[in-house]
Amino acid sequence: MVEFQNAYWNLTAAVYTGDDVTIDNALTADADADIQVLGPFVAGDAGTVRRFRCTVVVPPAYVTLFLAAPLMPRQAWETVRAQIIADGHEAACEPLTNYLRLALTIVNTGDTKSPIAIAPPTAPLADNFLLDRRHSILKQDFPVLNTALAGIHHNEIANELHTLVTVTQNANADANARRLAAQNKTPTDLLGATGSITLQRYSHQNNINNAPNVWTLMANRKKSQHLNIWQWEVNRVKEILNELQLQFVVDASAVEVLKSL
Amino acid sequence: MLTNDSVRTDFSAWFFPESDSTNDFTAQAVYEMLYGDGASPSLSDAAALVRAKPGAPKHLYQAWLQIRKFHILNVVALDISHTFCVAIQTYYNRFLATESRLHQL
Repeated sequence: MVEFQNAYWNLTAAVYTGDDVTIDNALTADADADIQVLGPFVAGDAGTVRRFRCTVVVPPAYVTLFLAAPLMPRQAWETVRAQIIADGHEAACEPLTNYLRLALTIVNTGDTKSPIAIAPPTAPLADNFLLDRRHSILKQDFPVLNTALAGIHHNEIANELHTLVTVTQNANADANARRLAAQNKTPTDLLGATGSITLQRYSHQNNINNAPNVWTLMANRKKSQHLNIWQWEVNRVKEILNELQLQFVVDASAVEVLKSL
Repeated sequence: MLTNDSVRTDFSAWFFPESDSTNDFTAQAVYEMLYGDGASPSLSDAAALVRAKPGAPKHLYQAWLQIRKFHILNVVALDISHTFCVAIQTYYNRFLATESRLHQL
């Protein structure tokens, strides 16, 4: 980052410059490449007179040629202009070609530099404000480099993951609750509301869950097992009443009548 | 037992007439198949569940048996401490106490 002064955009005074043929012939005649500038050109020479800006935009395709090594005006003319001609971009790159043309030209006899030769811009001292400014420009141009933005994205991903995990946990909790509820049915699930109240009245229980165990067992088993459940309970009661010798096979019709009372 | 018809409908000691235990076990197996998964019971299967109709005992042993079975099923359904079960137990005890006299009838 450098301080780019407004003067860099200023126009020079009118300058006579040679045309392409004149410049090429002059440079070719100097086999030792000692000549770095040409001119001065005057009215009547093959060429044009025009004003130039001290700055020119370099097309991206030719930036690498300038970045490869520092170029003197003659080297730039020979290298960059040759590449422009090879690419067939003479018309599109005419501003750059004219700039290079002026860079080779002196105005007065005895001059050693072109009128557009100016002191290069200086880089200001890097303070915190400048560094922050430069960093903000970089982050704007290259969002990937913005660590804060990346952090926000990370937070969003983490939040979404948290939401997903929470939804999954809730779903699992609901499934577990349903599974437990399916395993812990009450006599009401077996008899319905009316049958449940009837059983409460007959068994003298305020809470249906305090009804004898056989009703809870039936609620939690398939209908095909109901008769077996009654048989198990009958066998248990037989033992309590000391009637183990009594042969009592529970009848389906008796169970159905008891359930429908 | 409110009416004569209650003998066949209400749950009472009359519900346990004399029966063949082999047939009772068969009826239990049929019941399990009848309500099992993918079961397709026939009419004869359903008829096998219907056992002897409720009726009065024909001798003292059967009367004892009916009272005791009725008591056991009520204990299962209502709990042993239920007043009705206690009442049946009392009735059963009185029945046993008068059994000798009943034999003389």
